[in-house]
Amino acid sequence: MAAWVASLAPGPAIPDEEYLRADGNPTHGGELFRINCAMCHNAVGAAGALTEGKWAPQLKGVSEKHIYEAMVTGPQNMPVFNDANLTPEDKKDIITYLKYVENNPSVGGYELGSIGPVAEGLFVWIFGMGFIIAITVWLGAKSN
Amino acid sequence: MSEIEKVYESGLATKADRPIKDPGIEPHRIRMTDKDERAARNAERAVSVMFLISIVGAIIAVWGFFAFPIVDGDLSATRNNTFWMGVGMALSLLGIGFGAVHWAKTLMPDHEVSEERHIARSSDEARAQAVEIIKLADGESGFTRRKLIRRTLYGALAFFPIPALVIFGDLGPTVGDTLKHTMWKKGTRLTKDPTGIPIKASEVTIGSVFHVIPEGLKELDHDIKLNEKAKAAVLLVRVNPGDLKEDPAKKDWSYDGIVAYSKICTHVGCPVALYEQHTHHLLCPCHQSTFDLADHCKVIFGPAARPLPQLPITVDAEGYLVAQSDFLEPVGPSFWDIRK
Ligand code: FES
Repeated sequence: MAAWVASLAPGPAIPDEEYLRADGNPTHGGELFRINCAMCHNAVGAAGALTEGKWAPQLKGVSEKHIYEAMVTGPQNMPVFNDANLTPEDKKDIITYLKYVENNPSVGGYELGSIGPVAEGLFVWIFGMGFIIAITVWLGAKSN
Repeated sequence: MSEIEKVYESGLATKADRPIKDPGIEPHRIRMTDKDERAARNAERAVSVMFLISIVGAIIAVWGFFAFPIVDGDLSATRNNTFWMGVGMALSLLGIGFGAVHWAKTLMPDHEVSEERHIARSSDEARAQAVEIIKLADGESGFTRRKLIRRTLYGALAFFPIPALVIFGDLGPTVGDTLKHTMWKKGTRLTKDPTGIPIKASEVTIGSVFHVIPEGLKELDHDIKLNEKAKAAVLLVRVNPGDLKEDPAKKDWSYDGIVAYSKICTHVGCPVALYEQHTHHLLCPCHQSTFDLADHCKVIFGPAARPLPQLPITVDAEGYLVAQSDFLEPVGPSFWDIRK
């Protein structure tokens, strides 16, 4: 069956093990990720919204092989990133970057899902303001 | 004069025979700490515990400073250092504050005092005196009498701010036509961001997206580079040529289904780069303007007011993609004399 499908039109091959080891250059991978992927997938791959209810999925916990294959094939509405655009080395660096942010604690402290200002603002709004209001009430209350 | 008229004449909004009653001072409530020696001693202890917590907080802050030194290049060390310093100093300050307030609320004397508001109007003598002083000053200075001095003074005051206006009008160079041109010229090769490697038309397969900078941008000085990149960034996409709804006048701006559009949103200038392969929607992440890439990037949703400008492209003799010219209209947010 697979051979028959391949005889009609060969698609991209399954990536070579060598590019899936996540031992490339995470700095370079991070730069490529921010240029090519972060606008949809979020700067650390925490997912993001597209038009009309579609979304770009989270990349945490996705296997190296699936990330690689997604870049070559462009599943659903994701565009294709062929080897002329991102060389296999580049793809390896991107995977390295993703695995790096997945496996290392965030230096900024608790990241609240890495989804940026909405979560952070809500946190400050509820806990920060809540604390201030509680103190105000306590200041104004008479001791019993 | 009737009763009602009398009331209005005196300017009162409420009827004089039903004024709002002075609620007086709330009845005094005896606190636990006033009734019971033990409660007072507990409160005393609580206050001193808060002050002790403050001392501990200061010690934590100093300990954190030395226990987690800032190491060059190690961001998590900086995080630990500032975290413990912050927690310690917050405890230290809050301890003093909470202690002082608790002390005042539970142990300091608790009697209510009321003071009458005094009248804001000055006495008639003081007011008459003020008028006297002004008249005297006018007489002695001759402000009203010496017309020449008065008028030239008005003139001087009117002219004094003019230099400031001139300076404000000259803050920095004017933009000139920098908003209307980018680095793209006839024959500039389309290169990959960030490597600057030129792109062959054959490399752009259907469904591909390339993030493009003009050839030569990479070599510019850092500051100039950022400014130029902010205007010249381009998104290159190849779609099935049959999917393109092309305006006959712009037919030769694309190359075999490969189209290049400015990446700078015409709303307020975010990079628009969320491209959907099948719908050909191009979405701006900032305020959700959506452009139809197959239809000259017409705005189909959101606050952007005009389509993303298209970069006319073709291929050179070696098969590399090149620009036919600069953008034919300004990229990015609209401005008031954009059509001039
Ligand atoms: S900047 Fe693109 S929608 Fe506002």
